[in-house]
Amino acid sequence: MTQPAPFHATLPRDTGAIPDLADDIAEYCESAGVAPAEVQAVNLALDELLTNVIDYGLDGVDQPRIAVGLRVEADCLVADVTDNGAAFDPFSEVAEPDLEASLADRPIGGLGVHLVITMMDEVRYAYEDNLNRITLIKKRARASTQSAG
Amino acid sequence: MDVRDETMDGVTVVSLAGRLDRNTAGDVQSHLVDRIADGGSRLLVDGSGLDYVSSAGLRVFLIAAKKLDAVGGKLLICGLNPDVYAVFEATGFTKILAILPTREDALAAP
Repeated sequence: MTQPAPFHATLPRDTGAIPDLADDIAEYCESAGVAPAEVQAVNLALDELLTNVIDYGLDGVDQPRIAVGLRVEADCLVADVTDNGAAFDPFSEVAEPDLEASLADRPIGGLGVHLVITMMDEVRYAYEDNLNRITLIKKRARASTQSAG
Repeated sequence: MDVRDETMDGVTVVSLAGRLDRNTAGDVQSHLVDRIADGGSRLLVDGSGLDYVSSAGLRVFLIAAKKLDAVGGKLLICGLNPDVYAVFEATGFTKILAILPTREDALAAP
């Protein structure tokens, strides 16, 4: 079965645009036969990363640029987020939360990046061509249907 | 995002429906903080209508639970769908928050 053309979207610096993006991605993935739980995981990871970029990553950037790409492969989903903010690797620069702490000791916040790492099978960060680029890989539970003949 | 209040067995029940994320968390947080300020040691959040919760939504539950805990009260949560429950589980929140299957379970909780 031929995989559909990759999904691509640009985002304004506004977290209000994220739900519509999630709807577009869900629609795209549905037409490609991706399981709903896998779509939800990728949308959650993208929401967390995009929210951080929009809220903190683009301070002082004159012309902010945020883009999201997604492609469906037979055995996985590959998503990427790029932005032109200052170089920032969330996977090495954000402290891991202490998941065993008591209610009183749990700090407020700091869970978004942890959720991304937990929900995805592989995460990568690179800074190239003046862009932060995060790549997310989510394995698919079942390979896509092969067409007969 | 829909937020609705009612009282059951003398406990304030806040029902949430829709998408609890960075865009809606602020309003929901204010609402829960107001209900806590109204008094009463227990607050039940019925999340059966929630179809999505991000970390911004989790923080609302954490803030409400801490506020109630600090005054000897308790936040109770019920009705989370499996996708939403998975987000609570992935962050260890299922260990620190009282999450019950149904309203009846929550109202009967110690």
